[in-house]
Amino acid sequence: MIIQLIEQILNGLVLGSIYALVASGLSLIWGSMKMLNFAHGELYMLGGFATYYAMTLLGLPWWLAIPLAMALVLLVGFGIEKLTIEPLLRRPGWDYTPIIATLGLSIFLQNAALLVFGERFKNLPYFIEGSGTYFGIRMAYQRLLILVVSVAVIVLFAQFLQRSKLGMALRAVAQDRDAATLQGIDVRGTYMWTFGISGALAALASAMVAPIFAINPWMGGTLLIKAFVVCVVGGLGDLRGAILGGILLGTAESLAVVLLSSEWKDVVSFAILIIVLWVRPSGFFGTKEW
Amino acid sequence: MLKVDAIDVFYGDAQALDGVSLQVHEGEIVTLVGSNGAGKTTTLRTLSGLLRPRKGAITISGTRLDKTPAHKVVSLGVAHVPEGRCLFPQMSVWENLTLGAYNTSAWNDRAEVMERVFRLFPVLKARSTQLSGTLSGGEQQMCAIGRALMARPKLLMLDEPSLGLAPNLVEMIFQVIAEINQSGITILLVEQNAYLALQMADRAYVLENGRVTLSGPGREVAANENVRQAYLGL
Repeated sequence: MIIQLIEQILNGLVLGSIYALVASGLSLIWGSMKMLNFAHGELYMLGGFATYYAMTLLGLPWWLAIPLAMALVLLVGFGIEKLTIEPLLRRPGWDYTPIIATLGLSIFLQNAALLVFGERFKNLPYFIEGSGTYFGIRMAYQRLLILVVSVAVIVLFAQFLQRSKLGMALRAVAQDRDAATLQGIDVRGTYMWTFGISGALAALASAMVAPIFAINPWMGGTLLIKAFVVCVVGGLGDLRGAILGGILLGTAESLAVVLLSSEWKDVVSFAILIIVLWVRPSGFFGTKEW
Repeated sequence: MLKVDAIDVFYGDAQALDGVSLQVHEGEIVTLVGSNGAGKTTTLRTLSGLLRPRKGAITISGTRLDKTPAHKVVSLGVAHVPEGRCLFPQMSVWENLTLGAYNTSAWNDRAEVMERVFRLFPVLKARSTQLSGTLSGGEQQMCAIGRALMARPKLLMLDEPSLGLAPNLVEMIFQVIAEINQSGITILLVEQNAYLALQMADRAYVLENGRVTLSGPGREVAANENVRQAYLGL
């Protein structure tokens, strides 16, 4: 029983790291643009399909297919911001329309994917076959890989925000747009990067779990809701919140599967959401800026 | 070097500036005085490109400032210390200063420029790893001026640098402004503390309800009967 519990907690961490990747992108967009992106789940979905076709049609190995998919979704993110968000932001008094536009974009991309890729679920083989047993705890190499890659990328992303010139600019825009402009930061340009980078992170998440969950046009929808829960629990606009919230939610869901049953998974995560909204509506880290 | 030619600025339908013209020559300290809501801050924000004039023109050394994207204004040598400082509160003093050099030729020399800022404000060096939101009011003002200096500006615009500071700090900030000016940087100063501002300014403009009502050498403006009554309380 103890062994099984530990295994489930480890599985929870794997799932949590995926949630953290997706939620940190949402959180980045909220932090710098103060808007929600309902099409974030579709960027996640596109990342999955891009990885699938890079591996099956182009025959690339996973470690080449994933960066390619991330780069592709980065460009899609740039395009979405440039073509749908920016023209709306230019109109004074249309402050909330970009959010609605992302909702429309989400529906459009889902149906476009259905048309182009078809409704059949697509599966990829494990990137690394087999599993290892450590101290009596069994763990598939694929899950270990997910954990290692996600943690590495999140650490890199945090370092990028902390130390790089662009990362500093993104944080500056999140804290004070006018002051950022006065320092010579092109705020509109950082919005494009915000969309692109958050999309690339979602694409990575999607690619890593593609061998475990099936790739399909609707895969983004449920995940997006989970990512919103993570953001609210952790505190919107805070990277630490997205990471901690992701881990918490992933672990709680995995434990619910073993302690209750798999149908209770979503009940547990939404119960957490309700409790957090009740006792601490601003999340673990409040709504502090980055 | 800076020439503002009859600009009209609106917030929606409300007119904030009405045909404001002013000039700043190289090496000068020029001050804008006037009561709350007269349009002083609006003038500076328009010069920085945060607001756009509906009419009129702004040129700096021959370049049309009002046609320049706001984020490129600083690279033309115009740095703005906004009202209320507007530091990045969740970032360290070092990060705030570094961002000051973001889009200018100063980026590659930022370590050297920062040393100069630290010589001007030694306290910033001691606080360089502290979050700027946790600084005292005076230190925040120093950090905001330091951040603007990081761009190696030709023209430094300061909006109410004495706001909310204790008298001894106000004096210190004004001394530093004089020092900055002596090092060759032109100053455009907006102040509610008209007495101090007029004393140090080469020239002054008085703004009332979005119009320039009086201009001239600082001491002359300070000697004007209306100004003495309205702004100096004499």
